[in-house]
Amino acid sequence: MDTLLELPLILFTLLTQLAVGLAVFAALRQWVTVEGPSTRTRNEWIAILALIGVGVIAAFFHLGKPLGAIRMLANLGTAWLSREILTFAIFGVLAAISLYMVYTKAPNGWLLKLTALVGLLAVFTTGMAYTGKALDAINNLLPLVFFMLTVFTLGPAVAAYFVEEKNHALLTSILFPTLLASLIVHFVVPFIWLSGNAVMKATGQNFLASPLHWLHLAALLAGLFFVRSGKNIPAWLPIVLLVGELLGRIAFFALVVNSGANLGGVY
Amino acid sequence: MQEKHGSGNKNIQQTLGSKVSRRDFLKMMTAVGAIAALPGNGLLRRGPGASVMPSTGYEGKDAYQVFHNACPRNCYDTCGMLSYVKDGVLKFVEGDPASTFTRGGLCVKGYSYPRSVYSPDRIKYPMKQEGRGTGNWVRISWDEALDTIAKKVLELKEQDGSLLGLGMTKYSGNFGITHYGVEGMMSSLGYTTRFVGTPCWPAGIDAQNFDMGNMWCNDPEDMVHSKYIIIWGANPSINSIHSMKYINEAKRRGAKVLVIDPIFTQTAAKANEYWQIKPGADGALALGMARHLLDKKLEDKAWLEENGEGYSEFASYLRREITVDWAAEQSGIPAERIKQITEEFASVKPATIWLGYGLQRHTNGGAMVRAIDAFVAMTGNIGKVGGGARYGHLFTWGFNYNALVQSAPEGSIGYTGVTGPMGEFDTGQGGNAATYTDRAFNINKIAQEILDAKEPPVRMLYVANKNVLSQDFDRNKIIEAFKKLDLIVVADLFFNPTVEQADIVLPTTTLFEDWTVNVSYWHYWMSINEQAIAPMYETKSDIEIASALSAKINSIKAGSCTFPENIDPKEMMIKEFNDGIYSLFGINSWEDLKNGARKAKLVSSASWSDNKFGTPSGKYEFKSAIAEEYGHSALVKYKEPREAYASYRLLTPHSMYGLHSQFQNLDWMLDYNPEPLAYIHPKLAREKGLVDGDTVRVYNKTGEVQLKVSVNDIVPADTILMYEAWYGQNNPFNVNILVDDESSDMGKYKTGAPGVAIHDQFAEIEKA
Amino acid sequence: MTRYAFSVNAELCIGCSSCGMACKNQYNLDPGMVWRKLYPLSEEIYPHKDRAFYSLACNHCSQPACLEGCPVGAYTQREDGIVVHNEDVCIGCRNCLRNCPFGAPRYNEEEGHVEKCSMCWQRIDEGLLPACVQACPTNALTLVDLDVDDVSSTVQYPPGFPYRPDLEPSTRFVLPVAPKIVRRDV
Repeated sequence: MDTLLELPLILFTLLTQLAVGLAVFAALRQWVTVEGPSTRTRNEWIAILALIGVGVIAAFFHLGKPLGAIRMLANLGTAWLSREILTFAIFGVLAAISLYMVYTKAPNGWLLKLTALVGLLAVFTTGMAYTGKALDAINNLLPLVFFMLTVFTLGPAVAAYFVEEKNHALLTSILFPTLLASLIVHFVVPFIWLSGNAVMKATGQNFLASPLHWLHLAALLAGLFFVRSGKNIPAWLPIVLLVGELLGRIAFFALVVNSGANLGGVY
Repeated sequence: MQEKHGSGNKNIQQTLGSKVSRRDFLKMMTAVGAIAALPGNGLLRRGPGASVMPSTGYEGKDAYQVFHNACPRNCYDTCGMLSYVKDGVLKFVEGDPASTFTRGGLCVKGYSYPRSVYSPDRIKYPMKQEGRGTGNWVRISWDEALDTIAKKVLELKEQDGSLLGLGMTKYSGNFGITHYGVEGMMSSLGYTTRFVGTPCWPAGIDAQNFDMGNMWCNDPEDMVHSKYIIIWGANPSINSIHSMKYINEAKRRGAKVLVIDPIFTQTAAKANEYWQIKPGADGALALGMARHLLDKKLEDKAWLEENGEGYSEFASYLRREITVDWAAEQSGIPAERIKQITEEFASVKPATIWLGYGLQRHTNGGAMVRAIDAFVAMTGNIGKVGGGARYGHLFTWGFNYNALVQSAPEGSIGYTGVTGPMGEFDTGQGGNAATYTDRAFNINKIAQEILDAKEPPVRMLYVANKNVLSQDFDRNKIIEAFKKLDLIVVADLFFNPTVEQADIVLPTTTLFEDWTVNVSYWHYWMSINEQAIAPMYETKSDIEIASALSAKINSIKAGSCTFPENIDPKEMMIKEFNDGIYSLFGINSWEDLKNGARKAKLVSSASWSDNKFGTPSGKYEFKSAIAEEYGHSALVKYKEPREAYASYRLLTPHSMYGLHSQFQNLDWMLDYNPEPLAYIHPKLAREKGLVDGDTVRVYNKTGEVQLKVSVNDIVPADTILMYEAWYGQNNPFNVNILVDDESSDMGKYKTGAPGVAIHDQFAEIEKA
Repeated sequence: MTRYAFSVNAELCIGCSSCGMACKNQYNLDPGMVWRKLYPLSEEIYPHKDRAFYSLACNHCSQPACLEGCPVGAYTQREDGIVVHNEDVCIGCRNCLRNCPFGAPRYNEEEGHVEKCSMCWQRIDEGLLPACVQACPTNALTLVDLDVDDVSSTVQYPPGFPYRPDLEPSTRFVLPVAPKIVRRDV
């Protein structure tokens, strides 16, 4: 089977999910602060667009024939990948408009919320696209769950760089429960795989034997420890969480076993 | 133009003096090869946009020129082939549907041919090696190559007064009939030293000759009529895949199939029953079964009365000295099974035994074949459609051997002394003290013969259609022996281990670039081999080399060589045909073969159907005076096997992915079989603390190899199994490092030298 | 109606790999690219290693996952069931590798596209057999028409093969049988 390290896809999913996370919190900040729509989220939107840009460019490197990428919209009927491209395209456009509006000091709250929502929708399509009928362990809602956890882990964590410490409460109030949920989910799931079919079981064994997996959990644990609702997010913590998510994402792409690898064996 | 070619990582670095990696080097050579090889390399697929959907698939019947070819490898199946050529490039191959035996399909090796023809590793032009074994190859012209060879030959004549110092070893690298032009080339130069015999099947040939007066098997396609088939020491699932359909059909019609083999082979897995016999005990088993026939009065008395010379003495021997229980003890097969199968075999007709070549690669191999033949004869199955003791035949090989038969130049001095046949295809009578002949050495003991040879010593060696360093025995001894040779010339396709030891290498053509005709030693079909594509690079076929050498040496000194100087390979092929072949095959002309393979018109599918045997008595000889002349027991008798000289038996049979040292080196083949493995039983693995994938040392008095282990119960617990193959330039793996050159009992009578006890080898195994 | 399928008879199969190499030969596949090969059955299924095999390439499913998930529409399904892959349309995103539980599509890194068995549709359209089927010396691998031929003695989901009724692979199997074995040792 392919043993290519899927770095392009790792980067694409992580960076776009971070972008969506930032978008959600940028929109949220417009929504909950009494200031109303403000221009202080300008840097976030620059970051969001940059992240989308880098992520998409990274994704190009995954393709054998990158110049053919434009044709990826051809199968919206049945292919989640086509739908993902479309939704991200719309998200990208909306993010650009949002940045423009923030720049011109006339940000429309509804537009920003729409952008964030479309972003979440894009992550939804990604979650569906990264299932795989050959990947028994994740041929379900798990990719979606994993990706959403990433959105709500990295989103508030990195948003901390754009927000004054005294206003971290909004971020930590989401980050903390997310980290808890993420830790539980990522810890439990490989054990559940052990009771599945041969392909799932092998996947579970891969995860439990892998330093990538345990370091990911360690990063989440560190996050839990150092984040308390209402308190601020230390400056080094988002980096730890980013590294942890990266390791977890590498595990997601490298350690899930493909059913085709077991042909001839008992399923 | 000087070009360098390395023959291993170390040598590449030495040659180029830099840290060029093998991958870079091959890419560079591929590029050079691409320039030198167009249009051949137009076959390699190119990048996006250059392909149609799907790339280079079938383009419709009108897109190709179709040629008939024949696989010239040493294989029972000798397939008729179709080659599909477009714009002078071989696109793909298929089996010839005209042959019911080939039936349109080849094998994993045959289908890899296009990759072989266009392999970037193929030798493209004559080269000389500056320092044998160094890898410092320098390209030379044909003129220079032939000049060097010719001058050395003339020098030998000066020095020794004869050409007995010129040795030639050749075997089955290419069985196309015109390739006997290599022998012809030697004969046309004078009387030379020939390495005669065959490593393959000589003990069994002699045995069948002692018993019946010839080696002559039934048409394998008549196995569909068999009611009982014993496949004894043969593995058609690997070595004769086209025969399996007849066995399957017999089975479908209700026949029972028993496989007797030390290994649970792929053929054994398809049988009704499998016996894991102790190697070397096959004779004992057959004698035990024969004894049981007598006990149960199941022998065909009438037939034996009519046709069995010395039968009553054999029967007395059985009663006196053989019991089923003894046979069970020797062979490891329970007496109850022996008795039951014997009764089953004898109670149906026709019943047949397929005797394999692995069976007779023992010090007692010939004796064992005689015993099994005797068992078949006792059941009255010789000469019956669907019956017979099947081994092989040369029935369809009656060509003119025009390329082979050349006369020595006037005034040639040769060997005086008694000689035998120069190989199994030599129908001559050999020589005696009154005539000059070639000097015959045992092909299976090439190292020892070269070391011992004197008056004169062997000074020069020409190698064609053989890979001495891969296939001959006691590799270390061979290297020693080669040091005595002034000049080694090898004609070949790839930089194999023999070429690595050569001074000059001559690039040869593949079957697609050659005109010849092929027949089989198993089935009864004949196929033409048309030249489908032009010879690539500067390659020449064996007879073109002979012809060119003749022209060169005569230009230096007139009258040195009688081989025709300006041959047309196609004409040489046509000259092989004679009326005998035409009438046997029911054709008017060789051109009829352009429509497809043709089958010999047989009086009966059964050999010996008229019970007129080729023995002195005209009968089936259980007691053979000729056998005694050659130092064997006249009567079919038990002969002891070779004693073990190490802890575990070592078996090195044929791989399905290579034919000896051909095919396995191709990257396409490595996709299907990436590396050699030593197969051992779980019990042995436990004893040695080994698990699947561990690297092991397998070693004995002759040498050592290292490879990965596969733990598998297809082998007995006292056996190590490794398939013989050459994995290409960067893999030194060679089973023959471990195989000594101990002779088998028989072979001298009909092939000029005894065979080799390839499966009577033993070794130790440890974790590396 | 016609519905082509491969029939894999593991009892007749002698493990010779002629089928696989015939495919490589027909399409001049790059080294490293293998569309058809033999998969040895594990010891739990057939009691001796490397002695029983399924010859598998593409199973030309009724509900092909490769086709459904392909963003550029590089796959098409013919009326006769053959699922054809178009290397020129393919952009090498490898989503099909994630979706085929049978490992049929293969990625050719040098060419930047995926490849797979398309049942030699060009040969079939000329009345010829697929290269692999023609190559098989024992009729272990044959071409059947599920709408016409009697496949009642075959199974669709033998042990050693993923159970995917959601995809409905067309391949049919006959299981291997082990002989009576007389060993002289353990």
